[in-house]
Amino acid sequence: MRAIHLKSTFSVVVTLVVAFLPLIRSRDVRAADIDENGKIAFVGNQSGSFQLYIMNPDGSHMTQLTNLAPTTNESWLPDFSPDGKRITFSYGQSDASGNPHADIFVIDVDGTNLTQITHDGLSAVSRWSPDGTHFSLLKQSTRTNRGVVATMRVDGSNLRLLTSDLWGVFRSGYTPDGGHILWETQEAGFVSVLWIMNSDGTNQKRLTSAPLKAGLPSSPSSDHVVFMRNQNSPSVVPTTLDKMRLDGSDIDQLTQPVGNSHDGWPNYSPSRQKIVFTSDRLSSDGSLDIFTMNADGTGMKRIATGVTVGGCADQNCVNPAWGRSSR
Amino acid sequence: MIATASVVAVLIATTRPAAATFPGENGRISFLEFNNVTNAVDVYTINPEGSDERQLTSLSQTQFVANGAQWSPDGSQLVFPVVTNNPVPGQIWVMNADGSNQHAVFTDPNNLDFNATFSPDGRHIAFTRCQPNGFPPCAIYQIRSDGSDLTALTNFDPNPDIVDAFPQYSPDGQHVAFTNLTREGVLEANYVMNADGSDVHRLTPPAIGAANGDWSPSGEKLAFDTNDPFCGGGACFFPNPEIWMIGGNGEGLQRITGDPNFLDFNPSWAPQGNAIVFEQDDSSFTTSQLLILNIDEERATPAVIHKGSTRRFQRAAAAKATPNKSARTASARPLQILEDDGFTPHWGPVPH
Repeated sequence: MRAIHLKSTFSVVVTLVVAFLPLIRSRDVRAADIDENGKIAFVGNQSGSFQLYIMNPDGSHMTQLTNLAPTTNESWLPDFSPDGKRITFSYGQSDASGNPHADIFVIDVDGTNLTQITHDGLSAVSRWSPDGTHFSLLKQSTRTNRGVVATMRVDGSNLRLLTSDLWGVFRSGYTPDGGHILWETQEAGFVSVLWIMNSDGTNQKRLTSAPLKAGLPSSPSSDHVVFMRNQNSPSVVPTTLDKMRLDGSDIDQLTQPVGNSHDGWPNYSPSRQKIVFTSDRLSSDGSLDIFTMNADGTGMKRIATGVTVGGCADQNCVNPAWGRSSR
Repeated sequence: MIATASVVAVLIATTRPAAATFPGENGRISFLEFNNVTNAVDVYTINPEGSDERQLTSLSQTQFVANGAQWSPDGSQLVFPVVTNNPVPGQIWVMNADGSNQHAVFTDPNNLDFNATFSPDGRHIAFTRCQPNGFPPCAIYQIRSDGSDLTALTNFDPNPDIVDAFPQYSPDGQHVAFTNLTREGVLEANYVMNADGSDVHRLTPPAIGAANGDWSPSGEKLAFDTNDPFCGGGACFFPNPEIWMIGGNGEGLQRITGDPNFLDFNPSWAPQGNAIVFEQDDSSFTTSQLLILNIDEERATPAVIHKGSTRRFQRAAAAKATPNKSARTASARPLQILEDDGFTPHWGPVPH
């Protein structure tokens, strides 16, 4: 994050960077000590309808957490609370015209205490803040019907809309220090680009160039974010996973396509040393499997298959998230 | 993932033409109109003063004139694409300015060809070519005016989201302007290339969603419409097309219409370069009217020269509200209201 400030206000922020270096280092040391076993949550329909599941990072002990009414809304986008004890996700039904409506829910990792947080049918794509007090989310504007990046307390109060409602946005996420939010948008006429701003909505800045068509950003680490290349592209175009610094520099392509395979929905492990993602690279029918790999792109392995029956439209289901152990 | 909707369906549905305006004395304006009796779209012409409206074609309801009828440089002919489901998806037709001698000059059952425009010397016709059934990708192609010598000016991209459309030759014949969707990660913008297809470069900024450019007769400016979201009066409209202008060198960008209650698009320069005719629809694209804007006056109020019969209430309100302002238009005539819908205008020169 400090690199971003360096780029715009060099002299002032050098001081800040020096001041915060011990904090950054200590955060990373603690992350390295986090139990990588944790849990992975995802959305699958192997039971006949899309439901929320949880499993170990090696794919073992897969457990269905929800038993909600069947819905055509396949993007539930689960995200673990910082303590690993709860999961937030988006769920809702489509109206008679086929327009999807969703609200924010929270459930304990043992499947108890399902709680609906919002009740407007206009809320989705929630992610916890690092201190566990807020969500960043997508709030659909009633004025323009387009998504806006918003924040609210985890009880649904204190909603703040942070971005313009003139362009569509999608997934957002806090940086580990809670000071910034990175998000995906079509702001200013692009197919898909990543922006970053202060967590109060100020100092909005584009990070990626247009041809990259960057989307589906992970929750950032202290210095990097993983995203999908070729967002909003037709299925004949392969999608890969890339990593870059939070000032938009040092873009590194982590995966290579197999034919026109599609890697997507990346998220870091709690220590930020591994990445979980979806891919159809080993499937014969286009269905999505769940993979993990090291944060540098090495050590890729499939940990779960058969989690979608008949696939899902536009490959927008599964949406795996990796949370720390809830001890 | 999170794939965008099919783009060609939008291109066809909004019937946005590529216009070619050639220098000359201001002549008649071609436009399209829906026939409630035959359920067909036909080509009409009208004088700029709103007089002497003539129906030139009598097509069937299975035929659709996609994106208007455009004038030859000498004003003697019109080229118009006829899209039909059977047996050919899209054909390039030519007729005389009085509607006589209607005939197809190019047919290909394997592609959707539409959006045709004459070159300044009248020897070529450029058009948009999409895959069968109108699926992208789409590219810019060219034929001789007799239908021979099919040539690709841009190529089908392996990414089927890439759409090149709405070609228009510059008046000197050296360049072709066209609209592209999703090239280089930009949603929609106007591009310019050399007439042989080389040196493709973007002319308009991504944020305004520019499309459907029309060179001024001098070749110095390009009028175009936009798909940028526009908010005003407590509401927003998506898309909310407005008419903009930019220099051929990419400088001098300016919006020249801006009423959030109406959708302004399909601009076509007067051959004398002193006005622009364009289509104005209501916010749901269900009714239309043709307006003339005197570009010599900044923010001049356009005059209605042809207005949809289904908008009598709005028409009466407009006439009551703006009778004096309309006198400032290119023809300096009072507000004039006709009785039929019209869309996709193209301003032609007096035949010479």
